Amino acid sequence: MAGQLIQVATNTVSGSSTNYVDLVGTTTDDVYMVVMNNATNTVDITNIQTRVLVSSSPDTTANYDQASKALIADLAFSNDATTNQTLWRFVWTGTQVGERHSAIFYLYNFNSSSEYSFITNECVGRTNDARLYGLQGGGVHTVAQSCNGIRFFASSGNLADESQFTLYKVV
Amino acid sequence: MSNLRLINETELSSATIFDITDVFTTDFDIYQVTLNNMNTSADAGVYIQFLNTSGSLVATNIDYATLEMYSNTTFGSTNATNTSIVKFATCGGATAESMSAEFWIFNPMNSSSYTFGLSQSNAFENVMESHKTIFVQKQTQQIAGLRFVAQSSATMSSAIARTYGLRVDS
Repeated sequence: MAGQLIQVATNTVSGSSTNYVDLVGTTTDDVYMVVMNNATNTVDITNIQTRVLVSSSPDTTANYDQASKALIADLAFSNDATTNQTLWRFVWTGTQVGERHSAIFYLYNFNSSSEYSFITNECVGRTNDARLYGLQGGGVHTVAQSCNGIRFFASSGNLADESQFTLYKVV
Repeated sequence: MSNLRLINETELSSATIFDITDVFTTDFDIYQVTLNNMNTSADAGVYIQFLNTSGSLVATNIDYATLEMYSNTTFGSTNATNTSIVKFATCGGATAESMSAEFWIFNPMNSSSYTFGLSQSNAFENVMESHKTIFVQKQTQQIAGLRFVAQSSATMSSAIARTYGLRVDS
């Protein structure tokens, strides 16, 4: 458990014209935590997607792997795994009341230029069909490079008003 | 200074209901709750419920999903919709068979948002059982506290619940 959480960056979306939020500041070898709260997209049945930032620009190469167990309130749980993608996607969005998402992500080795960047995800939210759904697992970006942050972006349309993303350093 | 602020510490000596009341306020949207060293008088599932600002039970419109991971057998699951309670753990009734857990609670006092939560627990009930749970209270009313209860009204004891608020400085 965290000793202290020191805020590094935050962004709360205002309005409906923001496609992405960059959280910059993973510039030490500490573990970092990202809290996503009350987030969704302006377009139904889309994803909030994620990429690492290298020198503050998103890395779009096909080196993103992830594996999670999908916990679902009204269906059997399922496995969700992909390799060599151009992004991580942890959230399926809806636009109706209550179709919002929150999550805790831990970021490991983002600052290291000699290690892959790892992420763990604990997600909870309601999808476009009002279903409680959350991916629990992790991901890796299989490039040994220094990443100074992380981007969250809408796969279509924009991030919705009040979607909030905050980066903390765990010390 | 840490953005994670200790708000409340409540100790349970022995009871069939363990309430932590009025710990969520409009000062924070995000909370971490730790529950340490709960013991139960018998092998039992352990559940949470939600309390409103009057300390009354909000026992409707809850969906949850729990992954049950065992050290010696195939994993299991439990889930439900429109129920009154969230199963997030088990606890053994023998000496030293305790349970501990961590929760993240989102937007409990935001009257325009549903209350979402994550939890992970670990316990020993004849075997080690670790649970991961997600849940939502599908109403926009304010949730101010949590209630812990055990299956079959087993007595709970020795637990300490600590509630932290996570500041977001704009």
